[in-house]
Amino acid sequence: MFKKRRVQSDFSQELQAHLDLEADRLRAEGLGAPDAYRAARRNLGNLAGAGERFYESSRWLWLEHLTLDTRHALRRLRKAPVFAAAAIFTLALGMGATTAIFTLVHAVLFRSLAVSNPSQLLRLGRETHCCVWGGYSQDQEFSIASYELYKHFRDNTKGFAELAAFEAGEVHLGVRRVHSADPAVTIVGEFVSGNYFAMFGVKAYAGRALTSNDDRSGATPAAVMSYRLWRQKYGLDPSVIGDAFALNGQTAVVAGIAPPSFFGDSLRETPPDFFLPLAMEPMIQGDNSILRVPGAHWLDLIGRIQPGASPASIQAQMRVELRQWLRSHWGEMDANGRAVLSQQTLYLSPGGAGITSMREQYEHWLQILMMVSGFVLLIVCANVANLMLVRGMERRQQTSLSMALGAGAARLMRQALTESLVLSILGGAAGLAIAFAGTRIILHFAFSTAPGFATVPISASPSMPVLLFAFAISLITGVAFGMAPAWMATRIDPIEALRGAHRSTRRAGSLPRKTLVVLQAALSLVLLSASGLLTATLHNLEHQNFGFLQDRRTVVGIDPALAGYKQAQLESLYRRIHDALASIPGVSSAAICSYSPQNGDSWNDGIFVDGRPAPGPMTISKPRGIALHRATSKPLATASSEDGPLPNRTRRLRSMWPSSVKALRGSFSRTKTPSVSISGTATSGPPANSKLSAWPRTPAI
Amino acid sequence: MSTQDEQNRLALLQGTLDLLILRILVFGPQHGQGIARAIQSNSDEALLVDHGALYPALQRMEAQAWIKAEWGTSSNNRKARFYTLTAKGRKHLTHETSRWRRMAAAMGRILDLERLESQEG
Repeated sequence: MFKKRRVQSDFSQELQAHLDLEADRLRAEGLGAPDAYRAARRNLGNLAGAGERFYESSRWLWLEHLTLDTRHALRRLRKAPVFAAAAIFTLALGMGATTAIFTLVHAVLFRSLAVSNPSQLLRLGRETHCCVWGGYSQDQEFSIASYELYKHFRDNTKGFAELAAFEAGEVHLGVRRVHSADPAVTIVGEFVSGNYFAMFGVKAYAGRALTSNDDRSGATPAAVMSYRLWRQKYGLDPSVIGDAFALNGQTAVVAGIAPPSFFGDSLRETPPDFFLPLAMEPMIQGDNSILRVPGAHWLDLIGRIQPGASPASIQAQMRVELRQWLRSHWGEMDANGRAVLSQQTLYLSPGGAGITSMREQYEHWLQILMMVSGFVLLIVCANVANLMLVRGMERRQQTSLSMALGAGAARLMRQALTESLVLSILGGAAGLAIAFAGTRIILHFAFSTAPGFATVPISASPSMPVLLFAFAISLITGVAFGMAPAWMATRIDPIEALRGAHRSTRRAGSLPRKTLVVLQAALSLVLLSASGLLTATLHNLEHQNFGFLQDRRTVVGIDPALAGYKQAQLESLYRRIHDALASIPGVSSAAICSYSPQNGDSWNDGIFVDGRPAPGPMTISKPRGIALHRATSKPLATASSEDGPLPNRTRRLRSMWPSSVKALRGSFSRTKTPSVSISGTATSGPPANSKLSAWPRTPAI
Repeated sequence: MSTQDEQNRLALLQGTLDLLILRILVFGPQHGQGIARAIQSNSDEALLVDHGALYPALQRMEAQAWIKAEWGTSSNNRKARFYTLTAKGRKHLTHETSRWRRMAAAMGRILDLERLESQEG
C-alpha cells in the first residue's frame, strides 16, 4: 500500500524512450530522421495530456494538493504575523470556552462509572431520593430502601446476578491510625453491602475488596480505602493495608485499596474515601443506627442483571415484592400509609452512570453554559470571517491572475478553505490549553467546599472524547468562518488581472462584510443581555429574603460523633457548647440546630394534629433549637389569643390546615414520638431544601 | 503506411487492450513500444493500438499488480522500461481469456443464427 509512488519524471522518461524506439522503427522502414520523429510523436498523441492523465490517476492527489495548500497557507500566515496572532487568539478563546464546558458536560452528563460492563447495571428509581426517608410510602416511586427491604429484594429477585445496596447519603468519620500520633481527620465514608465490589466487578488495587463475609454481624470490622486518600494522606504506604484505624473511636482494619479510577457508585462532589460494610453501621452510628429500622429508607440499590434477563420483567417482579413487603408491615403503618399502599410502585432505570443526583442538579446550568459558549464561538466565527474577507480583498489581484491562468474555481475555494482550516486547527490547539485552565478554574470555584480530602472526581486534563470534540469543533469552526471568504474569492472576474494594480473595484464584497458585522452585533447583544440577566438573577438569589437575617451570623459545624460521643452525652455537651459560645465576648447570641437554614438537607416524617384524621404525605420542618428564632431574628407570629389575628403564618401550614387556625394552638403528633405543641409559626421563606441553595456556590460565568 | 491502410484497421474494443497486453507478455518481458508493435504485427496489422492510451493502461495494470516493470536495455541499445507478467496477471489472463472465448462463441452463435434465418427466408 505504501510502496514508493512512481514519480512523474520516470513516466516522462518512459514516453521519451517510446518516441526514440518508434522513431528507430520508422527510420528502419525508410523514413527520414525528422519525419520519423514527427510521425512517432503524432502516433503517441498529446504527450502533455498523457502526462497529466498519469498525474491525475494518482490516488493520493488530494493529499498532495492538501500538503501544497497547507504549506501555502502557513507561508501566507507567516507573512502576516499580526493577523495570524489575532485570529488564533480569538479562535482559541472561543473554542477554549466551548471545550472547557464540554469537558464538564462529558464528565457529568455522559460518563459511565469506572466499572466492568456498566450497561448491565440497573438501579432502583428514576429520580434520586436522598438521604433518609421514613415511613411506608414514598412520593411518585419507591426509589430508596431500608435494609430489610433491600434483603427482601436481594433474596427474592432472581433476575439479578448481584444486587448491592449502599448509603444514599454519606457518613462523616473521624479517622485516626491506631498506632500513630497523628490527630484524627474528617473523612467522608459510605456504608455498602458486602457484594458491592463484586456487583460492580471492581477489584482491589491493593489488598482485597470487601466481601459478603465482612458484611455480617460479628465479623471483624474491615474497610476499603480510596486510592486518592491512600496517596494524599498516606503517601501510598503499603503498611496501611491490614493496619488498624479508629473510625469515630471504633477500630476497623483497612482490608484493601480501591482502584484509582473508581470514585464510588455516583458522581458526587464528595466521593467516599472509606467504604464500610453495612454491618458496621450500628457500631459507627451507635444509638442513631437505622440499619434494623424497617421503615427507615436510606439505601440506594444497583444490580447487575443475569445474562438474558429482561429489565421489564425484573421491574414487574420487584413491584410485586414491594407490595408483599409493605403488606407485611401493615401493623406499623399509619392511616396515610395504608391509604396510599395500592399506589406504591417502583421503577428501574439504567445504572451504568450510577446514582445521577449530580447530573440532575447540574444538567440545566451545563446546558445554559454550553449554549452561551456556542454563542461566543459564533461571534468569534463572524469576527474571524470578517478579517478573512478583508484579507481576501487584498489578494484580489493575485486571485484574478490565477483565474486568468486557468485555475479552477473549486481549486481556489479549496485553497482559501485550507487557510481557514489551518487557522482554526491552530486556534483549537491553543484553545485546549485555555480549556484546561478554564475547567480547573470552574472546578475550583464550583466545588471548593468539600470536607476532608474529598474532591470532585472530575479531571480537567483533556480525555480522548474531549480531544476529538476539540478537533471536530475546529473543523466546523474553520468551515463556518472560511466558507464565505472562500466563496468570495471565486467571485472575481479574471479581467481584473489585466487592469492596473489599484484599479480594482472596492465595492464588491462589502455586502457580506456588512452582514457579518450586523450578525456579530446582534449575537453580542443577545449574549450581553443574557449575561446581564444571569448576573441580575444571581444578585437576586444572593439577596433574596430567606426569612432570616444573614449579616453578622456565622454557621459553625460540630459533629461530636466523630469524637466518639454517645447519644446520652449529647444534651449536656450541646448545652456546654452553647453556653461557651454565648459567653464569648462579641457573640450576642448563639443557637443550636440539627440542620442550619439553607444547608440543603432535610428530614422527612409525617405529622398531623392530635385527634384529627391524618392528612396526606407532608414534610416536617427541621427540629430547631430553643434560641434559633432569636438568633436569626425571625419574627414569630404570636398566637396570643384563640380568636386573634395570625398575621405571619407559613404558606405550608396554611395549605395544610386552611380553615383551622385554632388548631395551631393544639398539639401535633409525629410518627412514634411524643406529641409536640406548637408555640408559634415562622414567616415564610423559600423552602429550606430548595435546589436554589446550590446557586450561591455556583460562580457567575 | 497509407491513410487507406489505417482506415481498414480495427479500433480496439473497450476493455480488450488489457487482455492483449497480458497475452503478449506471456512471451517474455517487453517494453511499451514493443507491446504495441507485437499487437499490431500478430494481428496482421488489423488492430490499431493508440500509443497515447497504451501507457496509462500499463500504469493501471501495474497498480493492479498484474505486471511489474523494470528499466532495461532494448535490442537496439536504447534504455526502455520492460514489463513482466506476474503470477496474479497470469491468473487474470486465464480468467479473461476464457471469458472472452465464451463471449465470442455466444456472439458467433447469434450472428450465425441470423444468417441461417436469412438463408431460409
